[in-house]
Amino acid sequence: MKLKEFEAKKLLQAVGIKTSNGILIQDIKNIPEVKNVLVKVQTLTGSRGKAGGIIEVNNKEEAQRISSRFLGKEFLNERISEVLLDEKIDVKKEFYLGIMFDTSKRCPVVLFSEEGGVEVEKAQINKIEVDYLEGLKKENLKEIPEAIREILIKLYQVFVRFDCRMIEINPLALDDNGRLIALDAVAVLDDDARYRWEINFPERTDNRDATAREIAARQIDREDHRGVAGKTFIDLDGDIGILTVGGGASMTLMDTLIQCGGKPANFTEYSGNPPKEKVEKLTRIVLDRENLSGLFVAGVIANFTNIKETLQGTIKVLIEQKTLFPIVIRRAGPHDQEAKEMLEQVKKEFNLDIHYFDETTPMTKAAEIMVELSNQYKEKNGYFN
Amino acid sequence: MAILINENTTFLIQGITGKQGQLACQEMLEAGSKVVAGVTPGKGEGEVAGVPVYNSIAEAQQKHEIKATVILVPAKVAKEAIVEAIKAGIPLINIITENIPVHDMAYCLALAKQCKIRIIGATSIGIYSVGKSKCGTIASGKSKIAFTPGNIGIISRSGGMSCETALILKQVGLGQSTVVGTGADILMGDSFVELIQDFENDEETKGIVLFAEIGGTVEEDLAEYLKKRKLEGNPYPKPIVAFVSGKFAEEYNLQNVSLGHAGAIIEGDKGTRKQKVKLLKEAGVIVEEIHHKIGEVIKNAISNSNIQA
Repeated sequence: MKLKEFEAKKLLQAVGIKTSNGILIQDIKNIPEVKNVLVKVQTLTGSRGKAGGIIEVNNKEEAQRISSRFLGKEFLNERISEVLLDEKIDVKKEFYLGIMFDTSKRCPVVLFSEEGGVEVEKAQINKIEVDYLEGLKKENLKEIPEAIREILIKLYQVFVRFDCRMIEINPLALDDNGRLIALDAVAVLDDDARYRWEINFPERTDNRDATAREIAARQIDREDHRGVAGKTFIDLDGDIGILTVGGGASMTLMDTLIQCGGKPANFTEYSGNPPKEKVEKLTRIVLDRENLSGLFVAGVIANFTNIKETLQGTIKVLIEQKTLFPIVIRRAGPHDQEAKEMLEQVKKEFNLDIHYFDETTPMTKAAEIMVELSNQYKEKNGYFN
Repeated sequence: MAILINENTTFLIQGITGKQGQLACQEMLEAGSKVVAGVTPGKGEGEVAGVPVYNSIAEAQQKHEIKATVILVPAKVAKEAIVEAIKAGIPLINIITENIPVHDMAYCLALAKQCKIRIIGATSIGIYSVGKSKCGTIASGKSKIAFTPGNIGIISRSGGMSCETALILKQVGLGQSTVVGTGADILMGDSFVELIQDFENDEETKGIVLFAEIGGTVEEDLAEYLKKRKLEGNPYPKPIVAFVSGKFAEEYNLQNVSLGHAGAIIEGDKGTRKQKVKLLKEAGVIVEEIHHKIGEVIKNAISNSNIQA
């Protein structure tokens, strides 16, 4: 999970790395008398400076006026709830410091550049591998200026103690008095270690506010811990409803669907044998759209998920809503024979356009069929006019 | 032959008394695996499906020779279990547990490297040397119908897709030598580069199919390795076909959202699908865009390489 600047700076302060002094403002009423400070919009997206999210102000009124431009408003596709009134430092030189994992070397790496700041992507960067068993020692940092070594050692303490996937100071500024001060910081914490985080930061999943459907879908999963359904739900602007099963398979199914020209209305998945009530609720959210041209329910052969029961959840909603669009189902696993019989009966009795495939049809072939049927349906119903 | 495990491999299951551990034990025995012992700290008595349970690996090792261990303990205690296995000198550790903190994995991988122990996982579905033995939860329940003995090695970052990939091969009459689920975390044990070297030395394996993914750098590492061998005049001798998932995530700009796999998040500009596909192709890997066509593609690649040979 990514942190905002003021949150990441808390981590630095915890180990004694000096940061610029800032006052966090959530309500302009709380803005004190100030002079020569920066109003810094608190975003999760980078490059806010270039986008006009850092503005110098000279008095309280100006600070209020600028802050009210952002607080509670949209900026860089985020809803802004905080600004930082940060001390303005006269900078002589800017450095870049970072620590993250190198997936290829399977160890942490320390990154350092003498040319920090906004253009760091173009700068020359030193890269130092760290043996996790040894930790980061001064001997590893011979190439780095003496005064910065100490800060890197402390930054490594942050990296380990707070379970960071990555931590960055950019820039670390050298001021006119020869002090080194962290002016901005980025941190990504490891969600898998949330149970041992020292500081409880609020939950967030993405850079934007969730839609009502997305929130409702996640709620389904929070309320009932049997299996997973709705934990990941992303609203999209297409017309094929999606209910896929399993991580890698879901991605592959979506790849194929768009490869064939299909337009998904959402992305979501379920796994681990959720009860039919959970699948029913999730189906309701997926179908809560106008002008759907199909519903695609697909996954690999299930080890233990009850195919009949999970499909019952979906079928219940389809019967209720008397849907006309094509429904392509590719599922196999425990009780799939009974599921097949159930679907055949439902198809006849309620006139649903169900196309069922088992493991003899490749999963991605079913995705192709879904797109063909969706196109036919749209053609027939004048969607292309 | 086969790689990593075969009919003679003796297994330990750490976390054998848990729900998943019991299930995996039963399924492994049914597949012919020699599960000789289990460990659950504090519950070291009795047995699971006839397999004796001990308090510690040291206790188990007094009575049994152990060649490989399967980690099926909860994420919070996984580091402890893995460190115990490394220190006990078990040469192969297959980690099934999901959601292990990345700093715990960093520690375990560093220790394993120092002690020359191989790790597969975490978030691995297991290893299956088809017809000989298996470990983990791969080919459990109904999904075992997808697997059949044969000459293709599969390496998959996704558990579910290892099964679907085996199924696609079966439909064109190809079976598998060994199927390995590597997992898809940002730090993981052996992956494509190490495993294709195992497959190279395995006479049974005639070709290799990879299920690759956006995020991480294991595909880039493989491409670099293959290119280097080509330059040295010692090109990799067996055909490799890859499917790289993540087109959807990339085209819909969802790279920062986890779509199911922790490692599928792209950090910086590394790990994009476009880059992976380009590098793999340049290195001589056949990249197929439609997953269910992989069967035909590897079949043709093998017969072409036979003609050339």
